[in-house]
Amino acid sequence: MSVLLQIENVTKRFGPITAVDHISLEVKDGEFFAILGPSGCGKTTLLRVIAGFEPPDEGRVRLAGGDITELKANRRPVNLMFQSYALFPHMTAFGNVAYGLEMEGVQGAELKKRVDQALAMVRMSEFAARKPNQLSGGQRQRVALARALVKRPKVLLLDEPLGALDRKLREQMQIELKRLQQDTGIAFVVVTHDQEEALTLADRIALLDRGRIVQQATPRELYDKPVNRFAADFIGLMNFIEGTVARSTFQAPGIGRLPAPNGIADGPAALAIRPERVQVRDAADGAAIQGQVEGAAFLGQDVIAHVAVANLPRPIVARLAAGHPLSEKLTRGQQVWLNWQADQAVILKD
Amino acid sequence: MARRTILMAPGLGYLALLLIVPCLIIFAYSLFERGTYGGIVYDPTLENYQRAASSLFARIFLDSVRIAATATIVALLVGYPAAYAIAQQPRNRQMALLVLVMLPFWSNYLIRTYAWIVLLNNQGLINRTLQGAGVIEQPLPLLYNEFAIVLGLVYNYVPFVILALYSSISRLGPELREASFDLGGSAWTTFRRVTLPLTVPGIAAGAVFVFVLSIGNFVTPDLLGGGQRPMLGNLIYSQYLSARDWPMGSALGFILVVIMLALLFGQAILSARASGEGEARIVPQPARVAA
Repeated sequence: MSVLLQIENVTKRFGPITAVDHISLEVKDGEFFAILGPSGCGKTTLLRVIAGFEPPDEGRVRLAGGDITELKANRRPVNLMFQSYALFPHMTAFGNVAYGLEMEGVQGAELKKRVDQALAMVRMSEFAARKPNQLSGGQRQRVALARALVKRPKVLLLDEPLGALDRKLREQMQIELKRLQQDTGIAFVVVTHDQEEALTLADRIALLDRGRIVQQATPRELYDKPVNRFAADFIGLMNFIEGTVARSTFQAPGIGRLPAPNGIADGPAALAIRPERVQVRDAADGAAIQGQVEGAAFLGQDVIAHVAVANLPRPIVARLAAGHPLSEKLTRGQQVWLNWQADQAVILKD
Repeated sequence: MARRTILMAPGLGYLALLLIVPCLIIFAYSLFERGTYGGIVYDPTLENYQRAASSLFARIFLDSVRIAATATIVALLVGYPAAYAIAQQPRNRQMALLVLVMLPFWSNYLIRTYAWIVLLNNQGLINRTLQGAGVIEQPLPLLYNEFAIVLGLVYNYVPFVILALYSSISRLGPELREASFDLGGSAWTTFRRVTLPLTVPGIAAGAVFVFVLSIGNFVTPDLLGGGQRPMLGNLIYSQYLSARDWPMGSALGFILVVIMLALLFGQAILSARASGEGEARIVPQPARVAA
């Protein structure tokens, strides 16, 4: 896969606020890319820079090798699906989808054919004659998708595409978006604050915080190898154990010494371990950490257990998968022993 | 239900007593003859309406429509860009600009109209300045003609047009324009196909306002037109007060009321149709209807 979209050192300021701070990233051909971050991290501004609505103060935007930084939004082969969908309320679904093609000079039978195709692709053919106010939220989104896709953009930008939908519809649309992306082969760049959405949809994720890229990686890498506390905390659940690193050994009160990977400088650090990687046993076992169950919650399949460990300020959270021998037996106050494989924990300096 | 009736009663009573009843009285008067020395002879007749259709009245009627229509179009052409520009400003500045737009209303209508006479007459500020600068030899005929009437009407009613258009344009938000732009539309296409059609209710409201107030206006044609070009309002005024022909005045007045009602009705239909589309303009909430 070759590089399709390149953001090079882009900075965008609004008065004293730097919304996007020297961001560089690459989106490859046919890729599903997510820009993830909390609200106010600059992700929407970055999206608007790519769409051509905000000229960057510094940096370049390249598409398929060509510099499009100076190109106006209406000349870019890039389309945006707005968070609010921004459908034209005075036009039918057909009219909305046809609009972009009419701007290209497509007309007559060709226009009708392509609009019909686009509406069929999002399963909205039977609603072609409806106006937006006669459509439900999910239907409006499909029309908005068709309206953007019908232009066959090189990149489709989606601003919080699932944010306005209820949970059931959201899961349905996730699958739908993935299907559309694979069928059309168009690169999708989706902006979202929802880590679950980014993890399920994207091939690669850029995690943003305060205008900067924290980490750019595949969902699995981001989940397994977060580069700092922000990344570890933002994605999924994470236990943090505060301690120090000295001579390639991590040490924290209550858990003793653990080997730390080479190359980590001495000083304060945190050990991060995912709840589902924490093993729970009811008998002493080697180097295991002893603790006391504070509470256990049944999640439908898995059980989440909070285990208090002496000298640790916060309990360690463990997730017991369905079928775990202890999952139905954990009681408050029970003694348990915790352990994990050293390579599944991450030592984080910042 | 009962509470709603009680709350609406003062408003409805006011309308019934001071609008509907007088209109009915005027309609009734218009169907009788005038007395020789004024007053009303209660012999039913349609003569007043026949006279209203005669060439003399018809000419004044057409003049009035033309002048009011011209004022309406000019006011829209002046008001739309102004309202559009105000709606693009930051929120706090919008309010300040709207107050400035309404500022002339803090002084008296007559005084404002007289001020135009001072500006426009042959020895007025404009002519003297132009003559002093050597641009013209003879003073331009700026006053006591149709131009002056249209100018006066536009000047007086353009703030209403700006307000009506502003509320319509500002409700639109930037997203629909951006969507059009994103889909390849130029600024002009975006205006023609998105902004303009969606602000038709505002245009209609502003237009009806100017037209209705202009066609019935009798002060501006009198003062700035110098009475040279009487409009419908002047005609009704003179029928009542100079000719003392109340039935004729009533017939003309009633025709005016019917025209206004027809226009307001048309505008109401337009804005009702637009409000149905308005829902989609609101950012969609989590959908309750399954797709």
